[in-house]
Amino acid sequence: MYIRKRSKTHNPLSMNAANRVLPWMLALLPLWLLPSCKEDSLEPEGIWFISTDEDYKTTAQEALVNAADYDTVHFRAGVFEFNTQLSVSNKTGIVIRGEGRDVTILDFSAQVAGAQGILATDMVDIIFADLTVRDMAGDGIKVKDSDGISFFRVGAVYTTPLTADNGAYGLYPVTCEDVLIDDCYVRGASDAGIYVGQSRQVHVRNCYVEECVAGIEVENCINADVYGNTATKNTGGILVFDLPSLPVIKNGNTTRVFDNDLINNTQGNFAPPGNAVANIPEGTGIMILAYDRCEVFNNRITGCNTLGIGVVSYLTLEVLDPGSSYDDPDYDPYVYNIHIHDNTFNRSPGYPFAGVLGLTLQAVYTANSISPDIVLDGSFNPAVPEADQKICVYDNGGAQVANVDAVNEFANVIPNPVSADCTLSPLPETAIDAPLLPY
Amino acid sequence: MHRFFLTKPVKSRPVFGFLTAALLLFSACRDDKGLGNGFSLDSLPLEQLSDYQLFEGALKDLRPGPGLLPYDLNTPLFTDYAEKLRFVYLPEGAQITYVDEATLEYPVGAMLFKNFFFYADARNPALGRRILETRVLALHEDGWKAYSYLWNDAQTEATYRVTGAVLPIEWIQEDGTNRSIQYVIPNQVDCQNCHQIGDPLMPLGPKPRNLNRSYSYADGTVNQLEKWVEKNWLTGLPTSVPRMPIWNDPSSGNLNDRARAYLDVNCAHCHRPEGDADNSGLFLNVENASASALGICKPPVAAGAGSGGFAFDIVPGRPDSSILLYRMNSVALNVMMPEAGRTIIHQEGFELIEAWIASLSPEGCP
Repeated sequence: MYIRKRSKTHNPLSMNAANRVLPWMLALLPLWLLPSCKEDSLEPEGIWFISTDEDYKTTAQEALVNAADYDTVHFRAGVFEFNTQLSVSNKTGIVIRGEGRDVTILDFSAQVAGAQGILATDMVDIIFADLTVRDMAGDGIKVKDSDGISFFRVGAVYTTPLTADNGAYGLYPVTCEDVLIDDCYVRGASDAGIYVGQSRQVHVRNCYVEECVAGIEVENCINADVYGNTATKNTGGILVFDLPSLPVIKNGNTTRVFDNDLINNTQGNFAPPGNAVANIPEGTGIMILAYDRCEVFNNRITGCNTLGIGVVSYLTLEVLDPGSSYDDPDYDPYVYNIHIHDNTFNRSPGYPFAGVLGLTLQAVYTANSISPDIVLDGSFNPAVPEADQKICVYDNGGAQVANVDAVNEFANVIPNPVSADCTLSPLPETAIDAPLLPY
Repeated sequence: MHRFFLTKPVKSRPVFGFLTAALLLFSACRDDKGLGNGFSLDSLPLEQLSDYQLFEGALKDLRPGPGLLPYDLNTPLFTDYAEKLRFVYLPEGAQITYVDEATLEYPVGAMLFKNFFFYADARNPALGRRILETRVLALHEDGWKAYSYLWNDAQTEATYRVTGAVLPIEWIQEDGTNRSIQYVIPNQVDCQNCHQIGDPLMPLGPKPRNLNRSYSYADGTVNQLEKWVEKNWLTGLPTSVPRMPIWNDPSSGNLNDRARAYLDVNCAHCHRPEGDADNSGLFLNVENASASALGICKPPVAAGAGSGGFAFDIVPGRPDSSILLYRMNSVALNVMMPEAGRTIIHQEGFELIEAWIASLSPEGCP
């Protein structure tokens, strides 16, 4: 068992059940405003309304403490100014919602305590919907050690200038299972706008992330689908990273990245140095680091000239950044079984390369007269058969591919490497069991 | 409506307060775990601290009645220089069982009371003090529960409060400096987040190794664990119990042991394999024997601005390049560690960890 998990016998919010009864729920909408004690009904057991014309600093946290399982904490429209973190833990079926991402704003610009806007721990089936958290001192909404987490139409926004002082993560589920992030918006995070770490069964879809260092990052996860998102004006659009020294999931694997738009992710890197994402060169569309089994397809990558799609082992990071050394015998730094197909690339001419890695790559590209859209670092694990560490690149229109031999300091660059001329079986859709909104 | 409240007693919107009160009375009637003070475990949390009837005389004097014993710790958690008065309560005839140096098995009905206060002038306690909060841990049949009480300005009563508070506090430090802070009382979920070790809540401070010290009771100075045995409160105490050093008393342990004690008490409620910061892989509990997990030459995980631009949590011999120390030396919410429990820097704790990192060798990281 990798997460603390409580029994999940009573799950009226599960996807199938919700689809089945949705018409009934709509018809009976007014009734849900009445409290009910029926054990297996789909309606919320009780609703705690929070509005700006009351002492909401107290009543909101009170509701989060006193809410019974399957209760809803409902923020009315308006701007709620909190000076402390809101927190909730050890409950089942809780819905925390507003009345619209643009009309219900939880503002933390005057925060004096807590490192997140909202912190939820040890939850079973929790939903965040239709609200925005704004200007947190640290992360936006962090969910830890929970099973069944959904975000619908949630915003996490740092309105401040893009500096290392901004919070690291906007939406931040970590060590969780069954995570759905749908139609959310993040701006200004100094690490990843949407970050899912050390979790299983993950969908990140239809989100819009801009002006963060990393738009969306899936880190040390098992089974994730990232699709239908737009990442623009970040340093890097979508990252699929496997990092060492993480205790809960050691080696991330099995992630699909498809149907996303990566547009002009050319923001200068403003991550605090020392963090892994501080190594991302601006102009990165999608980067796969040290992962096993990743399928990247049907993405539209525009104006991400440095690394349209980069496939990199952790060895390269160690070569480029001495601060990346680690002591973790269970960690596997190599990349295995990656397929990249049916993506389209549009390069913007005259793009200024920047940053240590960006300038290094530019020099390598110039010296070898290449302009690759898909860049492989050329790492190879001698202990594993070649057939088990294929990186296959096909059907990407006229996209250029290059093995830049980064682990040997770019000594032997190979344009259009023959080794990438292969195919792999498609990865299956990631199954998740995340809660859906009851109303 | 009535059925609704019988099945969902915890939902107490103000308009239905009288029903909740009725329910509390009801549960008091079907008392099956009497605590010997006229209330039952089921009726917790009581609305007022005085309702527990465990203190004698004026409440603000915090003079323990017969069911209470004060205790102290070798190395306590730093909370903005707040002074603390701690008490353990046992129901009549109940006993604590010694398990190991880090674990006591408390009987159902046991309670811990931790009172936080500031002297107006730390140089002269006779000038008075302001008590801010009393945190209660009570052991129910299904585990420990945490309750927090907020003291009134008149210092006559403390009232149960789940939401925490932010209070402006001024006092004069022992060195004569005027201090003024926004003291943060954690909300009930924050209490759980620190005290939840794995699944259940646990007391953090009163472990045998940290309790293993003398205390000046009204009737004389004696080792706390021996006192508990003498009162028939503790059973199974071995002849020798490891003693956690006093973090700021060099006669109680060497630099390494005192630093590890400080990190254990101040960080390891989260930074342990079963704690809330397990995703970081940084384990600061004294039991951890892995140098990498202790942070030595370990790159940060999800540190954000907390990295301070540095590459490793601890760089031996180089405190100025160590993330751990950088985060102890900050009050920025997205940088400082611990995340909860302090709003100002613990200068003396900082100096201890600074000296410890400086003492580590060989210097530097690969």
